Amino acid sequence: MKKRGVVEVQFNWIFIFIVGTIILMFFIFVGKSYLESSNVKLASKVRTDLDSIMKGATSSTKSASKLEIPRLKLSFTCYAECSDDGCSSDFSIGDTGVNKETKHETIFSIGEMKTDFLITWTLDWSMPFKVTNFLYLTNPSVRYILVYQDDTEKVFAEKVYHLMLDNDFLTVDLVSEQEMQDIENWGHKFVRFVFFYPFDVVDVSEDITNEIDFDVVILPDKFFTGKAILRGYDDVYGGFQYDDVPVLSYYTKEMLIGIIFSKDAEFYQCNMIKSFNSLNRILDLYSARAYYLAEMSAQNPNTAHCASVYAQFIDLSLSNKLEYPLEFTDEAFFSLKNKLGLISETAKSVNKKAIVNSCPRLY
Amino acid sequence: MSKIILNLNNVLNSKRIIKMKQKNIYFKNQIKKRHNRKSQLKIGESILVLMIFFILLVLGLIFYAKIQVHLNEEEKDKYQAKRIIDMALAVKFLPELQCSTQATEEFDCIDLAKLESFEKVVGENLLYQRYYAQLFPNAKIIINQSFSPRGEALSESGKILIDNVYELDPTKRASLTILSLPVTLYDPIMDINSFGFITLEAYS
Repeated sequence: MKKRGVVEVQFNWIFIFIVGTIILMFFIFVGKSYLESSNVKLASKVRTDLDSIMKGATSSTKSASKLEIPRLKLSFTCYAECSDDGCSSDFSIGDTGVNKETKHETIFSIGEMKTDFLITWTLDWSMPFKVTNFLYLTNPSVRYILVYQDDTEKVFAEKVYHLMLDNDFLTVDLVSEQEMQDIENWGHKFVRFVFFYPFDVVDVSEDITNEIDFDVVILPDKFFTGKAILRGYDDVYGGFQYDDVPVLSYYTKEMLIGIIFSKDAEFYQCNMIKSFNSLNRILDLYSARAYYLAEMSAQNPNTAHCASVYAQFIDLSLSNKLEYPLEFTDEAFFSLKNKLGLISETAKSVNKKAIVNSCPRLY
Repeated sequence: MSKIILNLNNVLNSKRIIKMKQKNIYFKNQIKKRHNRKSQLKIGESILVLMIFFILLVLGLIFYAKIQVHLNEEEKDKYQAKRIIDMALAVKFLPELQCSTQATEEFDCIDLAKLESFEKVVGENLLYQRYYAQLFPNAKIIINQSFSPRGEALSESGKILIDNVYELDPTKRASLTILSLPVTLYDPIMDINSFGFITLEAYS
């Protein structure tokens, strides 16, 4: 009898153990699936919201806002591998695989961020007719420090500083080289130094170098058209030769700000390719508009004199489509600068003529 | 004689003993059987409880799944509404169409000369067609003129700006959301404004 009792009790325990394990496994499986699906659901919601935020921000020119978002890792990528269908570019949320392609949108961002607030800023690129809106994305944990050496650099640095101050949500400082040792740590996670001269050593206090990630943008030209170098922390401390690093070109102040907000050199170049694709499209449309205005004006005796006004813009012959040079050479830089100048000046001249002759404006 | 009686008694006794032993075995077997049945009953009860538990669990999950499906449909509707609002915003602010005075944009205004140029340039260029197809996926955008002080600048059916509807067979198309946005239509040749609508048809 005793032996049977022992067997019975043992059997009950084995039974409870097996069934308990099955039930436990079942609930662990259900819980895990629920967690995964809710993460993907949240990421999808954030993606849709962010997409709306970015579309809204891109629609309104010269606007800045600080928006509360769920604290998830946001990754922005943009590779300068572009085809006719746009560039390899997207933003993704966390490690969920939820992403949104941004093949054509010009978005300058520091790459990865995990933040409660997103700062958006929009500036438009005009030639002088509007080409596209540049969207700059950052967060409150990023600090921008502009450093100058002498008075000529200070003048240009102040212009950039005041331009950046238009966005109330940014933390921007303007300091001289001598004041760099006095820079205090305000608890930011990332600092981007913008040097308006070719620096040799980043001579900042250990309070900054030991605790905060930082990288540098070097703007040796003192104009809103020029070249820039963007180097990461490792390069700055590992040492680099100015002749061996990729040089970026910028042709407007909006592009310069784009360099200051970009993750790295390729990120900026990718966005520039997208912008120039927009420019080519808008240029084709304005050429067609000029042709249409000339044709329609000629049909009406009252406006017949206007037909010749647009000829200068129609005749504007550009041998090829405008392309952003990925490899900086003085020749490529000045060639593109001149082409952009020519388009801008021709458009302005045609518009002025149209106004003087009481004809429809080109833009 | 007495020996025979004694032997007989012994035989009887041994028979009784055998019978008793047999009875004992029978009773023991009966007890064993009852005990086994009791154990089987206990296992049966446990399995029944588990079955009921799992049935309730499955019913709960089905109920939860149905609620989730309903919520997902609501989310889908919200997403579709957001998508159409985003597209409406994008079309209203397209520099390709927006009126401008010395590069200053005018809100809610479409330049008819730009509209003509847009139709011509995009119609001739596949690359641009693909670009606008990505910008306005599965949607159709029509510009209508509702009132013009000096004759119609656009035909009565309006001008189809973009037609990227994926399913060409209307009977097979998914749910449709239509949004009409009032705009000013500016004719730079005649220098007149008229009233019109951007009609956005978005398929889910």
